[in-house]
Amino acid sequence: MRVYSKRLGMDDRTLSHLRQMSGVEGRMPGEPPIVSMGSTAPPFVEQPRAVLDHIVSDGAQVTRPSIDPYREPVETSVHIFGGAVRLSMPLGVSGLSDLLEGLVEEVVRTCYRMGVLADLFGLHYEPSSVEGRGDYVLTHAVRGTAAARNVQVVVLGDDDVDPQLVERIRAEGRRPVARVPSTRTADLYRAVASARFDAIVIDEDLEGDTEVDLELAVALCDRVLRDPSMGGGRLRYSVTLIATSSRLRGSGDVFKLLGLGAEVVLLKDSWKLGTNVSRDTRPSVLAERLENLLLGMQKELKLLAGAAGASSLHSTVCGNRELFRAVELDGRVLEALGVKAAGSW
Amino acid sequence: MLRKRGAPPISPRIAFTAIECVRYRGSRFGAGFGLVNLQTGVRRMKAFAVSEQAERELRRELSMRLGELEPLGCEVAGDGLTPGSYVYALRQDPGDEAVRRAVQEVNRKFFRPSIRAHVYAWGRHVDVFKGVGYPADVYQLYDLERRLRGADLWVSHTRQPTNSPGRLPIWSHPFSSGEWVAVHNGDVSSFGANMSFLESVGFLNFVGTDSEVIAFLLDHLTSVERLPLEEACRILVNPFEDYVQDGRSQGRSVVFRGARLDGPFTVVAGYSDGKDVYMVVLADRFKFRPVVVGEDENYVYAASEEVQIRAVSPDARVWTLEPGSFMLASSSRGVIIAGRKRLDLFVRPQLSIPRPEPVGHVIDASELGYQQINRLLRELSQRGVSDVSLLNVRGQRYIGVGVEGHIRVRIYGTPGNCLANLNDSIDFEVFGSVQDDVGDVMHGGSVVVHGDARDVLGQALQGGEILVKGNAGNRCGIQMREYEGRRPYLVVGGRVDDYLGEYMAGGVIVVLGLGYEGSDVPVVGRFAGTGMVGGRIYVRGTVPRSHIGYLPPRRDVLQYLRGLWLDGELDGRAFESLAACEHLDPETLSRHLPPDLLRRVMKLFEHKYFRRLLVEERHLNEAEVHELGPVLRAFGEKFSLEREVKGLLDEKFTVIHPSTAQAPKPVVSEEG
Repeated sequence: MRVYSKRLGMDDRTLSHLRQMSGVEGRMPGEPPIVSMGSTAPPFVEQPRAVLDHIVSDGAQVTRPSIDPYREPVETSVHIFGGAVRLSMPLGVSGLSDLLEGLVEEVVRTCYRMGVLADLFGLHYEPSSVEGRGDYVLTHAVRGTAAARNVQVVVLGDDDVDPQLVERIRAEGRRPVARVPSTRTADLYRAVASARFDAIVIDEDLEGDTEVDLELAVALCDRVLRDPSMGGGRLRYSVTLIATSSRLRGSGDVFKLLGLGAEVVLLKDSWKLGTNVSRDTRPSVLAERLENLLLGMQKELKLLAGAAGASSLHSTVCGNRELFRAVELDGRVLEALGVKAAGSW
Repeated sequence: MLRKRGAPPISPRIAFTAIECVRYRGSRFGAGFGLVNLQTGVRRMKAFAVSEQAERELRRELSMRLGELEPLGCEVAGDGLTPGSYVYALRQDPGDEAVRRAVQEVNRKFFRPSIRAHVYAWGRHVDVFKGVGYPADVYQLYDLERRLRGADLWVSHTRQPTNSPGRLPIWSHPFSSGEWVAVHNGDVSSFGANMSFLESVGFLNFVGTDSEVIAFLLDHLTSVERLPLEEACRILVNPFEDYVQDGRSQGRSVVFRGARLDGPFTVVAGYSDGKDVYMVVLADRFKFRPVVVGEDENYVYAASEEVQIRAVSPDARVWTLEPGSFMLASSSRGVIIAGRKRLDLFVRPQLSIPRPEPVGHVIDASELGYQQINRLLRELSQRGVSDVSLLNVRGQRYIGVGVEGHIRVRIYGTPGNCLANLNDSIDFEVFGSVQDDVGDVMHGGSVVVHGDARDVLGQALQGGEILVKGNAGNRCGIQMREYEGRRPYLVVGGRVDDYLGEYMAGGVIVVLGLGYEGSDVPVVGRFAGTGMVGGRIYVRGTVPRSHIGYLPPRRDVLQYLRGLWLDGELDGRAFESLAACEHLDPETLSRHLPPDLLRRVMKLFEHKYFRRLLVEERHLNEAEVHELGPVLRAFGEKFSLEREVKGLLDEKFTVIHPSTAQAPKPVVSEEG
């Protein structure tokens, strides 16, 4: 069912890259490390270990010059939940359940300052710092939540979808968010959309029966929501599509997932390894490293977009498969992704 | 070109003449013409088909969905390689929606595995004539001159393929959908996102070129979503986030994010709603493609280069669109939205372009190509001739390139792109406006322009002087530099658009904003001095701080400050006073924040290439008066503005330079 295993692991070079951006290593925190003019990255040299590794993105040509993000605007802001909340970049931070409470509080505060989402899924309490920052928090518990606006409901199968629950959440003045496994069951996405959830979080780490690689799930969900027969095609543009997995490594993965249709990508292991967070980390140090990491990744996203001649992530890159091609992927996978083979016009 | 009510209909020959002027901008890989007429009869449909059998099948499929289709004949015969063009009449018209859907279904059916047929126009008010070849070839192919009388609106196009091949006419412009006909110069990077959006609203087939989605989007937003034209245009030109202020526009830009265009584009489109005929002209927010618009008593014009408008209307009032804006005009109302604020101030310099008697060796350039002109100039220069006048210049490019010697060249007319590139010693004087990329890598001599300059003026300018009486466009003086004894000067009398002095490393730019005194229109666009590492920019009067350099989005900065306040690090009053500040730039922040908080917020601004820009609004110091005096006096003399210029040296200027640059030292002028 899956093309690649979801247990990817992080290699040393990627880890060092993230740590240079966060400031744990190196001398230029908050900056993308420049490596060289060439690359040994997959798919051309190193072995691809994920579907994302087969996908390459557009580089500028004469008729569509690259945009230099250091001097010219490349917009990374994303308006989610129908425009109600503005993220400064299409990122968020997840996997907080194994952190000390003090550090979780700091993560929530830092995410708010930086205008990104903090995902509390897996946490069994609501941190006090959610108060006043609820727009930028994805809270887990359905009942008894005090401050968070965005309430996640776990949906494992399409028979779990309860439109009445969705209405009750709305009646409380909150936004219902569905959290689903990365499934290939189109009906699940249809059910969630029809029940009028404000957002869908596709979480590859959730166990499900019909699992497929996150890339394929995101592409499928994007396509299903864009089907003209579903709410006259307007549906796609009123539901926010969020993707997450512990195997996502950095901005390259984020950028490609945006191209497949995701609007926000939540990082799990990579941000923790990149900031080298442990029980002993002081909250202020974590805050600084996380800010640096986010700023560095934002610059990387801008560089990638600018290279493709895109000056806006949300309107130009999201769901834009024309900016991407795939190398050595099976025909059926290509079709499921909606990405053309490298060399096609 | 759009006809105003009461004016004579536009003949096809005029549409052809205008595009022939800039034949070299295109290639043999596609050209086309389109028209819009208010008066209409029965709905006609036009299709390409590779063979007679394909045509019959296409007609059958269309008839199945729309009722009887009367064949009106083969407009252009196919030849086995290139498909023929066929025209039909739809006597019993089921309406736009049914026809749109039928066309989409049928086009998809005939597209794979190979393209056998394609319906390319089906509106009642529009007609399209396109093929593979130069404009002259297509004009002849469809016998337009003989077959057609005038029209209310024409668009014409010659293609430089960027996205799809150039061997079939389906990829040529204009593209048409519904009552829209559109041509495009550019390479839309949002192409895939636009297709995704169009698929979600029922479009089933795409020919594979980005320009087509523009016609589809125009049709969908106006005819299906029923948005007012102005709103549709605003969505398409995709203004930057901080220009989208009101909630409704914000909501619309979210819902229609798939209809926003990105990448380089200039679009010229015609449309009719049955009550009026409209012309729409769009310019992308980075202004990566040229567009010049104009108007006279009878017509409204849009073109890639000014010479095209002058060929049809020598005295038209001409202007350019601001980056990320649009022009809207109609037959009954004329120019409705000009695409430039305070147009009256912008066009003032045009009204007084002198035409003195030609001096020296006089050449009639009307029949000469640029290579001939430059060869003549080289010969004359070698012979020791010191003055040459070029008359009837009509868009020739590269004038002066490869010509040496201290020769004075006076140009009457409208030169094309790349005037005075690599100029070392020639003094040019233009009695008219110039086009893009004047004085690129110029290192000596001078260019004096009595009209306007367009984009990329003085790119990498490193010596000599460029004086423009009127306005200049986008990206002026980028990469200017100075070395050894040479320091270049670029003086613009009117205003400039975005990215003035981007990446500047040396030299001096002066923008005077003559005529703009007291208006609330800034005389420079945005991002002035972004990436500047040396040199100086002087802008007369006040420049909004938001227009200088590249600042992070205001909302990002506010978000961070609000976070600090919620964290208890920043007190409420300080936050509120910052939130009320018009500009959140480094100087303002440093006045309101303690050092530790400032250091944190500045992370949003700083990066490894960041240079603080020193921005001062002040009088010129003694060294500057000594240095700029002669340049400004020369400006005054050349343009008969001695009186206006005299007081300028005493006025306040906004002075922009990178903060590590040294104080200005006067340079001993080579001319002594």
